[in-house]
Amino acid sequence: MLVTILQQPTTWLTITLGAYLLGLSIYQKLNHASWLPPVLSGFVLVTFLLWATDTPYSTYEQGGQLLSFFLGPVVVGLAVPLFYHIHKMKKQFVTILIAITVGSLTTVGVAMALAHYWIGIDVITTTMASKSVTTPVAVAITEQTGGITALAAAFVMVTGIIGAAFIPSLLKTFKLDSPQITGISLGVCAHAVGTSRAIELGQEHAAYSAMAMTLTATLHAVLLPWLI
Amino acid sequence: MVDTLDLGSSAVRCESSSLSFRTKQKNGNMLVGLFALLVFLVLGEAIQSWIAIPVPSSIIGMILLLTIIILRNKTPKNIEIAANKLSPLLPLFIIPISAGLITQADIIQQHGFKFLVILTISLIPGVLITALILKIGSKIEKKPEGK
Repeated sequence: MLVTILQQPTTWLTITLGAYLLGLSIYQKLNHASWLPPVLSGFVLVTFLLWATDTPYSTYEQGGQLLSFFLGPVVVGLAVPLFYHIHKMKKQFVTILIAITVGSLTTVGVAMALAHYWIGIDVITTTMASKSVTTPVAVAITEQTGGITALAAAFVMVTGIIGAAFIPSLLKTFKLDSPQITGISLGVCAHAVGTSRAIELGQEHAAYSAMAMTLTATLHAVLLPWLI
Repeated sequence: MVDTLDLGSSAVRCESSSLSFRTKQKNGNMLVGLFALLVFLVLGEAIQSWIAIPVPSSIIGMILLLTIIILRNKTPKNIEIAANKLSPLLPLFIIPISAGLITQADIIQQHGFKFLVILTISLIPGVLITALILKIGSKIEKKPEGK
C-alpha cells in the first residue's frame, strides 16, 4: 500500500509543502539564519525522502510541477518591485545601472571562465552563467540556454548563501561599506538570499539590494541567452 | 459543499468585523491579479514564439507589464496584491526544481568541490567592481551639488 501512495503526485505535493513548512519554522526558530533558508532545508528533506524511498524523480515531478508552475507568474510579478525601485532611485539610476551591469557580468564571466578551463564540460559552463540571478529567473534562463535547471538552482542557492555570509565583511575589509554599496553588492552577487541578509542590516540596505537583485535578473535574462 | 461552507463562514466573518471583510475583498482581488499575471505570461510566450528571440517568456511578460505600469505611472492594485502574495512563497515553488539535483548526483560527486571554489572565487571581483563603480559614481554625482 505504501508503494502505491508513494506513486501519487498528491503525496509528493503534500510532502513538499510539509518540508517547506518545517524548513520555515526551523528558519524562524534560528532567527532567520541566512545559512539555512527554508528552500535549503526543504530541499534536503525532500531529496532525502526521495532517496530513502527510492522514488524516481519523474514520479516526484508530477506532483512537484504543480508548484514549479507558479515560478512563471512570480517572474512576471517582479515588474511591481522593479517599477517601485526605478521610480524611487531615478537620480542615481545611471550609476547604479552601470555598476550592476559591469559587476554582475564580471562575476558571471569569471565563473564561466573558471568552469571552462577547470572543468571543461560545456553544459556546466552554460549552467554557470545564471548563477547570480534569483532562482525563478535562473531556471528560465537555463531552460532557454539548454543548461541543467536543477544544477542552476543549486548554483544559485550556494552563491546566495556564500555571498550573504561574506560580502558584508569583504566590503568592510576594503573600507567600501555603505548602505548603498553593501545593499547593491548583496543584490547583484547574492540575489534573494543576499537581500534577506540586507534586510537584517537595515531598511536602506534592503531597498538597494532588492532593486539590484531585480535589475540583475532582468538584465541577465535579456542578455545571456544571446551571448551564450 | 466545501464552497458553501466557506462562503458561510466568510459571511459570518464579514458581519463580525469590517477588517475581515477587507481581507476577504483582498483575496478576491488577488485572483484577478493572478489572472492578469498569467495573461502577461501567455502574451510573453506568444511574443517569444512569434519573433523567435531567446529571452525567457516570463521575462518578456514581465517587461510588457513593466512597460504598461511605467506608461500608467501606477501599479494596478490587483497585480500588486498578487505579486506581493506570491513572492514570499518563492522558496516553496523552488523546492521541486532543486530536488532535481538528485538526478545529477554523478556530476556533484565528481565536481562538487570545484563548484564551491568557483562560486566563491567568482564573487570577489564582482563585488569589488560593483562597489568601486558605485563609489566613483557617487563622487561624480556629488561634485555638481558642491559647487
